[in-house]
Amino acid sequence: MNSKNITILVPLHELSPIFSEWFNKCVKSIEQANAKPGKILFICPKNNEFEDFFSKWECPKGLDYSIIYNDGKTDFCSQVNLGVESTETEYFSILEHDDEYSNIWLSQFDEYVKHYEDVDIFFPLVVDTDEQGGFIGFTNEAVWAMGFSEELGFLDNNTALKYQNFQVSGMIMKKDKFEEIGGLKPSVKLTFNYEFLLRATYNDSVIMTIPKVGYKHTNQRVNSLFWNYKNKTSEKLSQDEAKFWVELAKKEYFFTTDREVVYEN
Amino acid sequence: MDEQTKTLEAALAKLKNKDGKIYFLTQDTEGRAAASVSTNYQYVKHLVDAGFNASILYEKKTAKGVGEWLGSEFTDLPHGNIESGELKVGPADIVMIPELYGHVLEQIVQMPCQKIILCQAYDYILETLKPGFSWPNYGVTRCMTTTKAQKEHIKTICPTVETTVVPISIPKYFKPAVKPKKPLIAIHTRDQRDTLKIIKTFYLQNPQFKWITFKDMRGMSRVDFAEALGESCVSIWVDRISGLGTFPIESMMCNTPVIGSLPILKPDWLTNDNGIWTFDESKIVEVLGNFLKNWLEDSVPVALYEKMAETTEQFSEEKERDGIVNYFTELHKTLTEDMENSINKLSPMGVNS
Repeated sequence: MNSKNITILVPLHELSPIFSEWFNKCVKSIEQANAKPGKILFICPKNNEFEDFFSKWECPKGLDYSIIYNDGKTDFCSQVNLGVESTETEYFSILEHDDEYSNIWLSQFDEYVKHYEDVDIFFPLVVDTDEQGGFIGFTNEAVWAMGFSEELGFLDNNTALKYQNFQVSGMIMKKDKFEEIGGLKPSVKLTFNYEFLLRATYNDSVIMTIPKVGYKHTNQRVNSLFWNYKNKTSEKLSQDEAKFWVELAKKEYFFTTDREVVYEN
Repeated sequence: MDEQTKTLEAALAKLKNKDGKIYFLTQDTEGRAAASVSTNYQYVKHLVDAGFNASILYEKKTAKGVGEWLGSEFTDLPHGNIESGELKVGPADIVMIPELYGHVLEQIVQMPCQKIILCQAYDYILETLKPGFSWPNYGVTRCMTTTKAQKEHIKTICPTVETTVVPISIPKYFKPAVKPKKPLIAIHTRDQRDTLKIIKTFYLQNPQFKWITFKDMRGMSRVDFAEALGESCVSIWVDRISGLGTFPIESMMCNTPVIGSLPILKPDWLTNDNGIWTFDESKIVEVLGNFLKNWLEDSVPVALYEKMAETTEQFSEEKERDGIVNYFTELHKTLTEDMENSINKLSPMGVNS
């Protein structure tokens, strides 16, 4: 097993004025990694802007990539689901265009998968930063706190029900397991990430955090999905709605299908 | 032949046949693991395997022994205790006395045996000796110790005592875990207050690392201790009065880097590049924070691990066995020669010449 068995999915949504700056940094992090993936898939909306962007863009040497133009729903979950569907390797990983892998992430996967073959999802230790790259904190780390979860280093369903600070971006997951449990649910608007992990643990997925810094996540980037939920007047969520989505995740994770959800005040 | 000569002749025969008893007086730790006790057992095991009449000797018959923490292979070694009157010795017998047992020297000063100090912790040498008294006052002329630094120190307080360095070994079950290391910090300090102080300060100064667990290495069996050390990513060692520093060596055997405060008497094995050392204990927390950042980014220098591996080579069981067996083989030779000379002196002219 090695990193060549991983496809990196980069879900893209819209071209902001500073898109290319973030995007190039994100791709550079793959280029600079100690181990290289088998493939990179850019999943983007089918429109002139992206087609124009990619017609001019030059991929760094040594990286094998493909572009999938999606003419359906292009939210984060749908883009990832489409990317996984097109994945031909045993594992895939999600890299957001404004985030970066650490140079050791894929090589650490190589090392850990040798010893933990039964693990379905490897979380990286995520470093959350502000837009200037300043350290905010870690994510996915808590499973290594003594007595936190049933087994040191692993996430289980009971623990996930009590603690939500885990994220799927950066994770390396078995494609088969992702499809078996039903992929990400676009209908679970705010808490799709949380619902997915509850569902994964409920369906006996083995989830482990590799205790090495693997992913740099830009937290609350202006105009990002979660920034908008918090700050953009038209999309701002009330506390009640936020609570609704958390409770919804706890109800929906028993189902592998994505059911339509409507929030009403 | 007079009585004295007969006694010496009998002792000489015992020495030549390796029948002379070698007692290792051993501290009863009441079930707690102690490196110095483990070394005594190791030495006795090597000597017994090499055909010497060696045994462990406790003061009290109620001594708990090491079965709970050192392993069954050591419980079968010959044992005795002073309380039951088992310490009956003659000129061919040797009693190895820990440096801490100065009080025992007074009790056995009249016994017609060889008394040798086994000094593993130089800081305890004067603990139970009366002011102005030293080992030669109790007929001790030889000492065995575990580092050159301790040998030099002993020379300064007992210049007439002949001191020999005999290596120790670290058992083979001190080895790296098969799986990658975990974000665990093994901590071992002489004073438990230091352990708590380091842990509390660390979390206050590094709240981002509050998910990383410390493992206080007290009260464990040796095998559990080795296993915990093997899976830890780093260890902390604070023991200013350490003589040898078994814990950091064990840690290196487990491929676990050590952050430690420099002991007053620097052990021979300790170099600038086989661990992360500080004079100032208060810096340990800061150094640990920096180390963890590097470990989490997989950027701890490879050279550190290489130096650790080099360091541990000198602590093999083979070197320890050769060291202890050679020591007693040479000692037996010397005692045999001394005894033959004494017999010659006591015999009428021409009888033994």
